[in-house]
Amino acid sequence: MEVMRDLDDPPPNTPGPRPSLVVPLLVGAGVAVALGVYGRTHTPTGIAVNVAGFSSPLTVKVWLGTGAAFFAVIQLLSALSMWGRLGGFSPSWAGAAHRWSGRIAFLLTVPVGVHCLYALGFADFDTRVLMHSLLGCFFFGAFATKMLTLPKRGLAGWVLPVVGGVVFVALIGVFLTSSVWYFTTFGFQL
Amino acid sequence: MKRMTPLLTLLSGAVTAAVLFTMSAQASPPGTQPAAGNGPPAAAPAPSTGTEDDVADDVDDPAEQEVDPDAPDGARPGVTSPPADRDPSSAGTEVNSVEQNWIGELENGATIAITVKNGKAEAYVCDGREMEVWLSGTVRDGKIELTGKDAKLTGVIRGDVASGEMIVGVRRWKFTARPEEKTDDSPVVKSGSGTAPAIYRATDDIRAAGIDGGWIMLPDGTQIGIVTWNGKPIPAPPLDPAFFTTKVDGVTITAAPVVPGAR
Repeated sequence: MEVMRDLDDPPPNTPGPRPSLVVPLLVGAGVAVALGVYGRTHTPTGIAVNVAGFSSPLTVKVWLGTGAAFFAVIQLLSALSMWGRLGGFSPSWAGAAHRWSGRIAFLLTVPVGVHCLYALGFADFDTRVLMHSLLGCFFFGAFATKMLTLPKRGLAGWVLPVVGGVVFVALIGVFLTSSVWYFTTFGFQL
Repeated sequence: MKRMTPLLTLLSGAVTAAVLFTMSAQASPPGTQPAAGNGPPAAAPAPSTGTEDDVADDVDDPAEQEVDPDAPDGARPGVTSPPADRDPSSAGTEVNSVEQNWIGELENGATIAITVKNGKAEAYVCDGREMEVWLSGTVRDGKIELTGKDAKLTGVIRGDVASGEMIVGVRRWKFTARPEEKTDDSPVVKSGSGTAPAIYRATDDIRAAGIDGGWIMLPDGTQIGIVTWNGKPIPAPPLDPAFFTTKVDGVTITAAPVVPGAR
């Protein structure tokens, strides 16, 4: 409980000026734009390192993305629990679960993002792909914003839920436009 | 320290990305970087097999380019170069077995690849633009007999030359083919031996999605192929030699080697 409060509950009535979100937002926007510009301007290679045990680089991404989405759901549930929105269910390990599921989810997305950006690039030939490209860049920007926002004290109570919610929605959007699309198009396969 | 952990998370993600990025940059052969790019229009301009030519220029060492200038020309329509000129380096090769890949040309300029194993054979004929024919059958006692959809290919193997004719519908073309080189010192082609698969086809799950693709891996490391996209044939961008994948209109296509007797 102590850990949770330390990190995630806004301390009530902190004196002094509210911390600014300008830097996290700027960095996040910079990350998203930089990824998009890079993905758009470099020549996609069609190639990136593979992860052993899967039939193709695409299925690697599909499953890593699915894993990230799974941990994102845990993120949502643990956050709701921490903020007391799951009724009385607010165990002491919710904070740790939240942090670790977040780290795992993020690390799962990194190879996917690298492969997408390096091998495929930012594309817009249909709505799904455009949405996927935009959301993919946006996700990493939003995540950077979230990470830079977390250490700040005395934020308004709505800030972290909103930023976290944005990150969650972006990731789920990326997941829907890639893994779910892949499964429905090509079927389940490892 | 607690305040630092989110930054550490970001940092570890960035480091992971940097490592993967470096590995990817090292994994991708230089020849595929410009060519496998922006889908069919950029990767393979329509009128000729110029892209394969470009790839060859990027990839091959100068000595090989001198040997192979006829190969891309031979694939152009209307240009029939004698197969003997195409690959002089293999002229002296002793051929003891027909169990290998035979690469050659039709008289209309299309490329033909026949892969033979245990008397069974699969063949793919394609001009890299719009014409492609898949055939399967047998090669026994020096006689080639293959059939495909509305197509028939017959021929004989004499010495190290396979020749014959292919009939598609009411049209008929002669072909000649020679064994693929046994050795290939091109640094990019990982599967350098003559027994490496020469014909690749889009995997079943992709064909189920309505996309079909076929590729012939030429001995000089270049490729020729066609992807049928929404029922329309378009020049296939080169396959990534590491994973045998390529990208058409943003969709990654995975190909598998065509092995005689496997289907």
